[in-house]
Amino acid sequence: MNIGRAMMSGGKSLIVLAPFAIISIWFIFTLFSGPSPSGAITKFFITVVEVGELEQQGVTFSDIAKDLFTMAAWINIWSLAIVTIFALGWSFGSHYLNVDAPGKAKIYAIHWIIVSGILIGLILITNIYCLESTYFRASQEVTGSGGGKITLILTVYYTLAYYLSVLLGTARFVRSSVLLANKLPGNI
Amino acid sequence: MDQCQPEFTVPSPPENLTNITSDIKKNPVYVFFDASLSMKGFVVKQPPQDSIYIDLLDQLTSAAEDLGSETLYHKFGRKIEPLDERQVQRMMQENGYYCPDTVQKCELDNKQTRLDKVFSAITADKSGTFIVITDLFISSKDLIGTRKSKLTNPLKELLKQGKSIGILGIMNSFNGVIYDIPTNEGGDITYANAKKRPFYVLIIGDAKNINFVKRRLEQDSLMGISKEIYKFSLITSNVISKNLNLSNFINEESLVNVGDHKLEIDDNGLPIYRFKISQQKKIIQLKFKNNDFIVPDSSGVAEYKFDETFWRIDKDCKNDPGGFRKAKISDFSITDPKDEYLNINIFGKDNFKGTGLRWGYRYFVLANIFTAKNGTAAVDVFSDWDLPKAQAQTFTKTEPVEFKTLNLLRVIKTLNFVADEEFKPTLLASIALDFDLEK
Repeated sequence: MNIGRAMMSGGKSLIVLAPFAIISIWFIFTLFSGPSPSGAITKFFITVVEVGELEQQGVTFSDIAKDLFTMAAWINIWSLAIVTIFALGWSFGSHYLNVDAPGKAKIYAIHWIIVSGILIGLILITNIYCLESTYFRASQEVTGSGGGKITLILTVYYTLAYYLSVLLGTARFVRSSVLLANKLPGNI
Repeated sequence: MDQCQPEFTVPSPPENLTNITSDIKKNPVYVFFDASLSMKGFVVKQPPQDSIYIDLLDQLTSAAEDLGSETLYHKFGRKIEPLDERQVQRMMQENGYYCPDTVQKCELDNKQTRLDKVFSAITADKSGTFIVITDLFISSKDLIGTRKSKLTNPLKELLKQGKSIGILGIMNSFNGVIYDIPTNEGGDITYANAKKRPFYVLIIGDAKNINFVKRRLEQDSLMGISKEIYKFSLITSNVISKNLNLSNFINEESLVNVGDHKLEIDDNGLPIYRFKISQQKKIIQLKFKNNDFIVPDSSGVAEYKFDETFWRIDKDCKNDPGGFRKAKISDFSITDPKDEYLNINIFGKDNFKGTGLRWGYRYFVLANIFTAKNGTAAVDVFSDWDLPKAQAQTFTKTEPVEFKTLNLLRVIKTLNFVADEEFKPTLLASIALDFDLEK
């Protein structure tokens, strides 16, 4: 009984996650293949590196672009993987929470907040790991504010993907524990 | 590590360095004795004190004879007079400074120390070596205006030709009168109670000849004498005796803070160190011994300057289509002299990170190190024996047993200043570093 509902929830979760994942995968492929030099992606990445300092080194943005795009692609791969695991994990897992115990419904919010907190934490760690202390040498070219900008955008994007995904995928009887979930229109 | 490297040119090593080798080419030697009356105190014996003066003069004349193709002796006071052998011997005796009462010309002559006249005479023979024995007791009026120019201009000419001035000072037994000590009121006084007082031997010429004379004296009259009573300093416009590229002083041990490294000397004699280094090391440090390239006893080097460049390339340089990228930063190293060593800290100004170096890349550095300013060691050596004009009267009133030399530091500073004016930056070394910067 639970397995069927859990599979259904997982399916719903995947449906919501799919558009985000498609955009993300397109972005990853674009980064690996090298974006257009005059395109918006390139322009964005120029804003996150210290071009003046590069010039002092006799280096141009195009010299470091490949390394930089590869690093950004890997941050997205890991973030997408984390979101997919957590969204599906929560959607399945929510069906196995004990809802029959009286007076415990509100405690499920704590479960959700903890899981969501871990997800956000992992996305942040992924970003910080790649931008500060990994073997990606391009990380050295990203400024502090540029790194913050990348981290913020990716954290918001993947957290939103996760939230919308679990919004639909969470078991109905636990949905009240998910922020705003008990107010979904149309009795979904 | 691939052998690819950027294109660059290395400046030629300097040709005219201060030669301190013992390869002596014989030229005339001129010896000038200060015949002013105050010098008499050095030859009047004062048992039980030992006087080095007479013995040293003896040794000095012997060294001058050995050094020169011919040796010409003179004495000077108000004017310069040639001396024959007999008169030279008299300069080591009391009667060499004695004037019979009737000889007014002599009286006038031995009351002045006209070093300016000696220095003017020096320029007449540019190949010669000049030895001046004097108490260097020069009044303040001789160190200003035209009198000062008369002292400095001939020296400028000599220093420009790469000659040097050796100043040997010896605190000696003294039994006589010191004249012309200035008072605060504007007059002058004499002092007769000094038991000791320094005299000086100025040796002007090629550094190697100065070295010859100094060594001869050290092997005999000055042997075993403590540095308290015997001081030496060499003033020269170029204190560098050797270019490190032309000598064998750049070796594997010169690179001190990198473990595993290789030193190659290219066809132009440029040493290239190849190695891997962690960014955590912050700088690359080279170390050289000052004695290997600085003229001994000279003023030393106060400042160095760098003409340096670095390039960046991918670790796998053959697969980097952009080739070596030349950095616009051209001032990133510093020198850190410590005791008898000169440390050259490449990227020492802001370290690797601060200079913008990134791990994961290969760097090639070319550093040309030049002297930028001579030091003041020559002045510092004699500071204990200096008696400034303003303190002369007060000092004399303390009835000192050991007297000092009036305006000594002013005289030495003047000589040093002349050397500084003729100073030209000298290339000390050209060194290349080829390294992978790791995390």
